Amino acid sequence: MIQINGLKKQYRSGETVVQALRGVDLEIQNGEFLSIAGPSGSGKTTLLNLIGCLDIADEGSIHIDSVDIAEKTRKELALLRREKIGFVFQSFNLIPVLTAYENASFPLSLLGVTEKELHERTVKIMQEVGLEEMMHRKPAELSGGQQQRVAIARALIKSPDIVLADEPTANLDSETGQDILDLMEVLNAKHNTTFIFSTHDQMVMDFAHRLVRLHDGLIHSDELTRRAAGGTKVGSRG
Amino acid sequence: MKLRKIAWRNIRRNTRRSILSMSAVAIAAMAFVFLFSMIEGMKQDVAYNLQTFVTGEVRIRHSEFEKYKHLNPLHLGVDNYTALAERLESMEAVRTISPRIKFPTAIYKEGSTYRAQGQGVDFEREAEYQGLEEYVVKGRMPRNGQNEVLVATGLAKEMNLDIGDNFTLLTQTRGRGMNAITFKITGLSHYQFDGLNNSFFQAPLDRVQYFLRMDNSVSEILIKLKENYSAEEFAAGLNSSLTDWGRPQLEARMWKDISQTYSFVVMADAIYFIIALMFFLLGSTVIINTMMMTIFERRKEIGTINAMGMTGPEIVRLFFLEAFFIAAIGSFVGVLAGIGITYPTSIYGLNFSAAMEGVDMEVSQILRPVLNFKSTLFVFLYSTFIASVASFIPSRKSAKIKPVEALRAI
Repeated sequence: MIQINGLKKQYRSGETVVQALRGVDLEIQNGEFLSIAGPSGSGKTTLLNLIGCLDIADEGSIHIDSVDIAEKTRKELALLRREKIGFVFQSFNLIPVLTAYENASFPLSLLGVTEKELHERTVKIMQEVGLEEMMHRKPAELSGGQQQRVAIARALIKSPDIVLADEPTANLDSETGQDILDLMEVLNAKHNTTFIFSTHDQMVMDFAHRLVRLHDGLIHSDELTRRAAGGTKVGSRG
Repeated sequence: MKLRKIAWRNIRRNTRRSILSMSAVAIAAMAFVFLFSMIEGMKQDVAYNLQTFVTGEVRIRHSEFEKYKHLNPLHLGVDNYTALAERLESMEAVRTISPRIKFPTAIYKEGSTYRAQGQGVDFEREAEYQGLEEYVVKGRMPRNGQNEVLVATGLAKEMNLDIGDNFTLLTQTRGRGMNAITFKITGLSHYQFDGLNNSFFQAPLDRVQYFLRMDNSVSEILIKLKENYSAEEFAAGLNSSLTDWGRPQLEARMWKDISQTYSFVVMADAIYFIIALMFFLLGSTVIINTMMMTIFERRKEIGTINAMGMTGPEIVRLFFLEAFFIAAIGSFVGVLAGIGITYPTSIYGLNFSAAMEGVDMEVSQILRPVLNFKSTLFVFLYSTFIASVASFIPSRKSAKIKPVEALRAI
């Protein structure tokens, strides 16, 4: 479970101070399929970065499974990310010199699993994302949708507790975007992994089971969607 | 995924830039394989020249001789040298010996006087000790017991002498009287360093002893040792033996302690190590620059791998490995190129006659670099090490980049 209390974060750009988050409270249960929505500059990416232990809050706290991440050192945060968090980026961020197979297996190699286990799990996840035929291609030889599938495989291969996806469909056409969301939903159900993704795309919002809307660094609304209740949109939580 | 594999593939991402970085290290490594080979060649050359013509590996002289050297102290000689020679030749470590008398002289010819350096030698021994026949470029070796002489080409040219000519020389005897003798030239010799060629001649030891009234004395005995014997240890042991043999006035010294030339070459060797360090650092600047550019360009990747849980030291190791591969490949190619340049020059030699003209050092005019496994391996390891260590500085920077900032990079 992720527990967020009074989260504040500001950025300074020269003389200008930007209040990215101005006091966010949020609780996310294990296995949720949650979308953080909002216009550009609303603080979506900042919130994801803080949950993903990539940045440090100015005020407030984030507890992941009751552990206060503010008390962790930089190295401990890296090790926490290594074990518990997977990332899917808007522009895929695959390592260009590695093949799809190697990109996907990279997080496992950091965990020091045996070669045999690494191979078995990589092949399995590549099958799950539908890329078993393209495992030995480099990212440059794959389409945008295929690259994002590799990125999802990379995020999920270590069976993390949380997958954070920052606008995962923003660089994809709508059909491919839909495919990616379908895939994420299937994998969420199959692995019971918490999926948190940011978006400002209505189609993506509709896909989420829970929708948290941010506006000017504050939670504007927090509601369960129709998909969460088998197609019926449930009442607001915010 | 092993870091080595990623680092290896990363250096092939921008092949031209990697090759440029490698070239900088390679050029420095190539230059120093050649230079260290030259120094090694020079060391061996000077050692051979000193041991053969000047000092031997170990030299026996009267302990006071050096103090009065400028006065040509023939009275401070090695008396009854034949008995000592017998003892020396029976020693296990001794390969060959050369009893000699060195004397300065003036040669009179057609109204002119020429200064020269004479040396009385046993030509039968010198065939082995100096390999003297190799240096006879015209005529033949003089015979012991005859008033015959072997004159260096420079002196012969200056005095306009040739085979069959006679010349008369005048010098001080052991008893400080004056004496003259006429020798017939039977051979012309040419040595590899100018110091000998310009004013040097060699005459039979017995005739020089007679002429200088030396009886059974010589001014020095040079000793060459068999392989694997240390000149330093032998000289120390011989000094004790000389006392035991009732000759405490004699002193044995090893060649390195006698001549300064070898010390200069050894010093040059040490200086080259420092210059090499500078060159390798200079070559490393290209790698440092490449690594700085690489890290800047790959900030997003650094952010990504950091987000996936790679720790700072692991990221540093990744970039350090890249720099190490560039340095190691550059050094390896440089060493191969250095061997490629050194090998033919070690066969044909490099002629420094013009540069060495008038230089009074026991360095040959034609120098041959000597490829040495130890120094070549040293150049490879040294250049790789320096370049890798230098590139550690920009590599460390990669760990300091905050992941959130790195991911924002375009």
